[in-house]
Amino acid sequence: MSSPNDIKKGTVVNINNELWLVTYFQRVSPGKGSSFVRTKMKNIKTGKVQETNFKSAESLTFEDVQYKKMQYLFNDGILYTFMDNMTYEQVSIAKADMEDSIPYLKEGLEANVVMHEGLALSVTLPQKVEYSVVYTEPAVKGDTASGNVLKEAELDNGLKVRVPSFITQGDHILINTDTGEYTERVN
Amino acid sequence: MMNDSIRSFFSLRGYLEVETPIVVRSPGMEPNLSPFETIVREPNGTEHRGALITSPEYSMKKLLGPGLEKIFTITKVFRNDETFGGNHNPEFSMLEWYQQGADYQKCMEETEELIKVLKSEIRNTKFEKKRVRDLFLEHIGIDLDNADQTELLNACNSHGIHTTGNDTKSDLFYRLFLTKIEPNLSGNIFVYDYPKYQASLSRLTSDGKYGERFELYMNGLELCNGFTELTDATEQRKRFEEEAEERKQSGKTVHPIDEELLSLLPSVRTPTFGNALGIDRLHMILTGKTKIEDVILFPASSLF
Repeated sequence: MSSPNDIKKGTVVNINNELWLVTYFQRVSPGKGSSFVRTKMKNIKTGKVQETNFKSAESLTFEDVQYKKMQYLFNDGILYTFMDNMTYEQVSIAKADMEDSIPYLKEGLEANVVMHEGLALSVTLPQKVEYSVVYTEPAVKGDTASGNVLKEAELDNGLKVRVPSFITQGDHILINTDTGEYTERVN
Repeated sequence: MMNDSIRSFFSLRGYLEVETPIVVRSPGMEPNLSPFETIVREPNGTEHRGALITSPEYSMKKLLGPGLEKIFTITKVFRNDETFGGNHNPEFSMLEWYQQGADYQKCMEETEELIKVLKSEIRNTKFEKKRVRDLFLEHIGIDLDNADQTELLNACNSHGIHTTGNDTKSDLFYRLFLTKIEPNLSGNIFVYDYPKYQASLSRLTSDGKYGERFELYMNGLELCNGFTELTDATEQRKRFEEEAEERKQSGKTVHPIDEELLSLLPSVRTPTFGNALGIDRLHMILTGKTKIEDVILFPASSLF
């Protein structure tokens, strides 16, 4: 049994036999009474995100999970297959267990596969992933003055995102895989 | 800069600035705080257990007893077991001020005036004021006037809020507050009259159901905590003893009760208000930063 005070980013908590990955935590103390740990957790199976607050005095079950660096290979529409580049071991994860990561996948992408008792449960992507822009309209003169104008761009894996108007076809850019937003251009 | 403006605000209103000790024998009894503990040693080897203050409150109240009417202090305070960064840092700056002969309503007015002096862009906006009871009626649909443990538990269950079997009424209240109320506190809003199990060191309202306590939230960030102060030494001793018992139960150091404070408390007038405001958080609000480490030159995360 563990204490909510030991929660960190990446801790996996077992609540009623469902596994939840902690993505955010902060201790809060009311003016009076017990202190709490406020968390945002993602259900490893469903990808559902919810806020859960634990009293510091509660006892929790942390799951012993390993993160294995693996490369994304391919999918057959139901199962997504990853490979460990050192051992050539391959694992498959059901589409439903990694729904929110799918738009960001591209061949060869390195990701952390969440392993629990020998089974691949899900996958967590790097927070920022690099893509190249395969299509975007050229910027219209005058648009750049305000500096905040966004336009649509299609990336090399088919993902469509909003990017600043100075981005052109062939540029390499970083996308935040938590929010789906453009973060910066890579030179 | 900001501290200069704070000082001139209070001196123009007739407040006296005081300095209070940082290393003390009784640092605070709040069950959820962990003071930094130390040993104070005399040259002859005599040792005293001491700790760093978690708030200057006790010393401030001791100055009220002998007759200082309006006082303020700006001091460093220390809390162990805190998260590094975000809204917290183990060492931070606190502004505390007290006025005898005035209650928490007056204190809310003065807090609003202080902030408008420091942030002139919001000079013409009116801060909202809401009772905790009204917030619970509006967002959860329960009446705290007569909500018992079962009703609070049912409300948690119907909103899918995680609970445990040994939750107290205060725990259930706070779970609801964190999930359903706090995220809805937008703009500048005073939240006041907390249920008596969250009264802390405040005087109870005339119906005995709530503590005369308030917090100011600015854009969702809790900035200060003020009370009409409890001046009844018997009730204060009872609350200290309950808190000492809670600390003992949870395996925390039980610091000695501050007897000097209890002996001076009866000479503090009723009403007297007090307010404690986090200066670093105020800095965050004034500069539009969302992380405390962005307003502290040497945040804990860079030191340890």
